[in-house]
Amino acid sequence: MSNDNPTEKLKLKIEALGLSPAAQNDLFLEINLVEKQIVKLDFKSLRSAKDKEIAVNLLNTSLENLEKNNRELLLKNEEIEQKNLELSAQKTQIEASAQKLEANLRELTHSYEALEQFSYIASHDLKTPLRNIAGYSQLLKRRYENQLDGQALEFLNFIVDGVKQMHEIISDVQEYSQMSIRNLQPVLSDLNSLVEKSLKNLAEEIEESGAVVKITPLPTLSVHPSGIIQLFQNLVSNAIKFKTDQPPIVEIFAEKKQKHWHFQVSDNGCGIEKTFNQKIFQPFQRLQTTLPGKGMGLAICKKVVQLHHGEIWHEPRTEGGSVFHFTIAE
Amino acid sequence: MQSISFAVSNHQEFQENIQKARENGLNPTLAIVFASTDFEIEAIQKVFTENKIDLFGCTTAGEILDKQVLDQSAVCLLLDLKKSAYKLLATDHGGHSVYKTSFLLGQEAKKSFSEPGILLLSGGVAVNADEIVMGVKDGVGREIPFYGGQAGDDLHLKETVVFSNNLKTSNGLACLFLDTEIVEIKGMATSGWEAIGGENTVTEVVGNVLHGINDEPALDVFLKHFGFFDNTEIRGSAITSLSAQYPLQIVKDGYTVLRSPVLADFDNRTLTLSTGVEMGQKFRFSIAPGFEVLEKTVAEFSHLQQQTPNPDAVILFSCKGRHAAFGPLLEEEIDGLYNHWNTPMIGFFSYGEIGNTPSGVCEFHNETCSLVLLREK
Repeated sequence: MSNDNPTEKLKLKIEALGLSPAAQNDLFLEINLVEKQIVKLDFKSLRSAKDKEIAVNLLNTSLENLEKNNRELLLKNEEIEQKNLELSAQKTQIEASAQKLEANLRELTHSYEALEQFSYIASHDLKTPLRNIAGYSQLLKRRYENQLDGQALEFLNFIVDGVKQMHEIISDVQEYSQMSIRNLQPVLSDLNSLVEKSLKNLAEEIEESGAVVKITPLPTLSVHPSGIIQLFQNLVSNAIKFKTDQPPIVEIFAEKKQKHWHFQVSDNGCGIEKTFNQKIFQPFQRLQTTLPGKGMGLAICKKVVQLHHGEIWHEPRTEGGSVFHFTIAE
Repeated sequence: MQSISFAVSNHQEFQENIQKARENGLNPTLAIVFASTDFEIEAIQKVFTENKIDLFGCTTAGEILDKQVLDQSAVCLLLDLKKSAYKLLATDHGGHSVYKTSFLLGQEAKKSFSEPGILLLSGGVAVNADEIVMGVKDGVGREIPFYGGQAGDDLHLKETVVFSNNLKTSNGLACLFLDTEIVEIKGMATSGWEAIGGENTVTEVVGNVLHGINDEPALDVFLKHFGFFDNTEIRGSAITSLSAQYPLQIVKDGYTVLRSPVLADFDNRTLTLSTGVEMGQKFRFSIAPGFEVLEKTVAEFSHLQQQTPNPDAVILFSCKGRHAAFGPLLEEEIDGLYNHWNTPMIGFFSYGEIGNTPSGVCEFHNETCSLVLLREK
């Protein structure tokens, strides 16, 4: 009778050896133990093979990742190089532009200085012959007044007035050019006292016109004092000059902004049309030829404000009159 | 409390063993049964119901009796625990979410005993087991002794079942609430799995189905690490036996948890995990340690032996992944554990384990050996 059961087959083979039953049992148990050990060893070797496979897979995955990272890195490097080239080209362009700008600035500064020097010298040199013309014209009038007929005297008066006018124009031009002497160092000054000085200079005009000047407390700032006195003096003087039938009322007000002070000088005068807002700050611009003045006052104001890194502009006042705004950097 | 453990190869043998136990003076009130899917569950239920013994059990991926590893059998632990010391509850998830069912069970445990302990078995292959642990813990409202396992189905990965006398479900939970003022429950879960390779990121996940790792299909990344299979048939069988051995190792709130892939979908290139992971979560794959870890595990449990030297019964939930990784050598671990107490011990190879980490926090695990000691005070 055949038996396919491996345990039974083993038992039959052991029996065939003719050993004692106890020895047969011992042998059977030993063989079983060995078989179990073989199964365990086989499993260990399988596990070890699988672990090795996983280790290789891990290594491959790491290599793949490394290669992927390398490829990305190379691409990034290429991008960076490209960007570098572009930046380098831009840098060269910027450097060239900066050099050009610097040269232009140097040239401009030089031209500006030359112009200032010229206008200063010119005004100075023009004043001497004018003084001569004025002096000798007045001397002629005084000595020979009785010998001249009415028309000759009238002509002489024209000469004297013209010379006076020319003298005043030259003085204004001189003052205007002096305003941009940038070597002057700003001084910490109480603006209340500077405004007071400018009003003192205008005392006669104020009294004559019956003007009222109202001032809110002003700050202490680092400024060019003579320029600021001139600035307020010109603005108040304009307000008086261009008055209506009513006595002039001038208000001076200052307000602190983020990085500068904002000043307002308002009046109840005849006002300025909006279309002239830009023109009025240019030299020799006169809106009313019937009134005295050479049209340099507001141009000087603009120059003073620019010297203090500020801006100046005009707005008509809703109830009539003008408001001049200007800023001074803190 | 007295206990007897035995194994059977068919359901008729249950009756013989119950009879034998009674003849030896044991009057069993409760039976814990872990059975291969070859067994007809209804027949088991009939035997124990006729004998007026409460039944608590599940299907397995291999059985453990004392120091032996068995296959295609059923193991049983008979206990003569007094009825007031325990309460048995088995439930289907039905319309509830896994979390809700678990939460309600947790609340029931709290209502049943002022100091409850829980043994839990879960049925269903694709159940998000984290929700079970979270639900029960939230339901109870605090950490309690809480151990258990996910039922197995001999690696078919189709239907895992839990059962009681009246209920058999592949989508539910079986719970044994114990009054710890009468029965002491001590236990521990330990793993030993080692992290390998670089850090990975979960880039697409829906519940416990992992779609993307590092912006690549999850299954492709897994296979790249653990095997390249060209033949679909080999691939299919390999993934089921392989996947459980190479879980994702996640550092969570300062301790490490393992999440095993349990199903692979080759059409959608996804991996179904034993429980959910979170989008953006960082993890490393892990691999079974060398065989020396078996001795280390036995040594770790010696601390438990010192705390509870004379338990009345021992229950072991051992991950099927460990069995696959250590093969016949796992018997050495089981032998070592049994020798610590020489007390009736049964267990099964599970698809997931619930147990306290050494830091005392109950968690859902994979690749662990979760051991529970029961002792009547």
